[in-house]
Amino acid sequence: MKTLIVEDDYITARVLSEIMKDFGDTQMAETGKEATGYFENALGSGNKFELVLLDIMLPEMDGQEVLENIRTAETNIGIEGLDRVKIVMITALGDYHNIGKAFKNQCEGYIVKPIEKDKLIEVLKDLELI
Amino acid sequence: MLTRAVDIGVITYLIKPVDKEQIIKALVRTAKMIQLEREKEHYFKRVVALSSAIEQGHSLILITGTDGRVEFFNQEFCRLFTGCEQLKDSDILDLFKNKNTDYAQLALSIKSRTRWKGELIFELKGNKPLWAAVTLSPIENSAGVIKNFLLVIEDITSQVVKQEELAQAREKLEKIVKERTLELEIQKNKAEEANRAKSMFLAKVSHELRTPMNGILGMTGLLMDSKNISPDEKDKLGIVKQSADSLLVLINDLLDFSGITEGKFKLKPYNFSPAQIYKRALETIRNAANIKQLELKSFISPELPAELFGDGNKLCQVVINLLSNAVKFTEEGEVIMSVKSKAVNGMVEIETIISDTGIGIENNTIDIFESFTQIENTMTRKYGGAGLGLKISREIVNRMNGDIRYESIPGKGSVFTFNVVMELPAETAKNPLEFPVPLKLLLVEDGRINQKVFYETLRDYPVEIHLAEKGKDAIHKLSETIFDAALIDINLPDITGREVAEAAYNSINSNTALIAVSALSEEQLEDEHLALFDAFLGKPVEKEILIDYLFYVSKIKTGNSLDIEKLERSIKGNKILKQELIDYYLKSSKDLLRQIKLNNKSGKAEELFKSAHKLKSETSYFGGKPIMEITSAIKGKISSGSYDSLIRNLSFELKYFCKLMERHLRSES
Repeated sequence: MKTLIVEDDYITARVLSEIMKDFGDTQMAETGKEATGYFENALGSGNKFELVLLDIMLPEMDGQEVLENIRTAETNIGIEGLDRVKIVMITALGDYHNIGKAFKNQCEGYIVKPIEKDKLIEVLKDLELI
Repeated sequence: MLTRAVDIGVITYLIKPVDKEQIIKALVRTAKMIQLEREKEHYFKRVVALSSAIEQGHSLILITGTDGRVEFFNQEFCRLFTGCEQLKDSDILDLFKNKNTDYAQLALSIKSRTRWKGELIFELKGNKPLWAAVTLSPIENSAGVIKNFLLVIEDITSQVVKQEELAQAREKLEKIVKERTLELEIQKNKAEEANRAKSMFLAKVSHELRTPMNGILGMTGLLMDSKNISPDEKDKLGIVKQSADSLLVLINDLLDFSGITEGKFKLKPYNFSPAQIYKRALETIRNAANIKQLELKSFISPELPAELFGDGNKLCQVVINLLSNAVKFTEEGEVIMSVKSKAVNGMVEIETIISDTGIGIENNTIDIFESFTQIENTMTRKYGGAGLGLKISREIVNRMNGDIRYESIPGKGSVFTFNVVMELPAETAKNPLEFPVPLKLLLVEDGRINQKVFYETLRDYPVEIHLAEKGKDAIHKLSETIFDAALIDINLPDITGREVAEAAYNSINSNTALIAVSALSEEQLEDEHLALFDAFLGKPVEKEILIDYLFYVSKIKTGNSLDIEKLERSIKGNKILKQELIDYYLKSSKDLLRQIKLNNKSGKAEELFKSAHKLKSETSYFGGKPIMEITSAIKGKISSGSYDSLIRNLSFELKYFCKLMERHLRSES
């Protein structure tokens, strides 16, 4: 499984890459702009991502905007329904109000910081990714 | 025969034998001829009228051919110019002097046979040139072909001259205005420079005055607290203290004023008892009221909270200021202070009303809240005062999210009302017995008097004081003993307090709570410098604030919020990564805290939230409940109140949290 991890907080990013390395290739992005670029390039090259772990609070372009960008890029080339990439939002405690908006923008799930290995694996199982 | 008849005026004739048809034809012919004659006469009259208008009118009129050569000029030319004959056949383009855009347009219009209007200089040899408003109109003949141009020329010389004069005058005026503005600007800069220099001087002098006050007030207070003095001695000490207090108020006013003019004025909130503050203000001016035999009454609402979190000293300053004004401007009668409070959105709003039966305020056009304002200059002599109080009061009240206003009837009295909004304290004040755990404290202070003030102030508290008189001595002690906190005077004789703080970071005391002590105000110190410390303590040292800080440090020591298992749950036993992430946090959390402090000082709220959020995210892997709570509170803070105390607590908490983390690392290895 090819995973894009979008997270500016180093510790969370390291924890996520540590967990996800057991399931395939991971690519790290620290900003929303970087993430959008990586996603679109992969989409163009045909070797697309299957999972995006996306932090909501990012500097400059935030996670919600990245989410919208990804869905727009997919729609533009006719990728729909189950063929779309699975997106799991990462949020800090007390930021739940952001989750509603993310679901409206068509994310598939969320996970709360601090990230725990067991919990993340549970989310991935729910989404039938593993 | 017939020719002759026609010559003498016969219009038509008939040839015999005359028949009816012939007569009718002759009559029609006659009628037609009469009409033609009339038309001719009419036309002739019109031509005469037009030509007299052209000849006798005061406009200058030229008619040229399509080649621009003059075919006709009216008499006005001959009246105004000598040698007008030379006009005949001359090219009109030669008659106009200036070769500018208008001239080119005239030439172009002649060529393209279109209408044109413009201004040119007209010059006829041997005559004075004149400014002319020129209208060029092409004239068609009866077949609609353009054969001529009509030029109407108007002498506008006097207008142009006037305009030019006007322009010159304007230019001159503009130049003068410019010069004046420049002059004023230079003077303004000079004045501002002088003002700044004055503020700086005030700040410096006030600082120098405040330092010895520390000794006077501290020692008097301690003497008054001691058990073996007589009531008489205590009274005398009371007077010393009161005088010193008033002197301190004046010095603080000066310092505040220079702070306001330099935009560096700031509140320093702490937990205080509002009732005590109002009592203190009343006591400060009671003597003055007694001397004038004024009644001093106060009504303090029992609903006033026992404790509030805010700058009680500044609140006291406002109340003292208004009370002393009321006493100063009242010759007989009473001064009444009433205080009430109400809860507003989890905060407390206090309304203070101070009324007097004094002379009142005559002139409503003067803003009495501006500095150096007193209604009449003569009054200044009679009533004294620097005229700084109300400006400072308004500034303080505004900073406390409130406003100040007054009503007054000349000869009857004035009523001043102000509101302030304050927070309820997180935790109530403490006596020595409530101190959670004893502390080991390093005191870095060179002044003997100040040393004594600290020792005496902390005498009853479970605080073990280690003294370092010099910076180098401090660095040495920091390398040998682990302290819970260090009070560092930042003006040391050998090296700066900053160097001591930096040395602490690089020693076994890298996580010791550092408190900067200075007679300079917080605003006068560099932000980068202050960011090295967890808290700031001004001189003269206020006992409540010092105890507040140390209580907090002591309270933190009772907890252990480090939950390293959390990280283990996250990464499932990767020991190397665990070590790496702890090392990272120890470094990164300090950087983030520094950013939080600097963003707070420079007022960048958005950046402040971001750094706080990141610190919260990173801390979540290690537990750190208090840090999580404070960073959440920073993010959730909507009120315009200051973040200073939250950030100070965060700073203390983070130090201890990192200490726990390092202890954990040591225990593992």
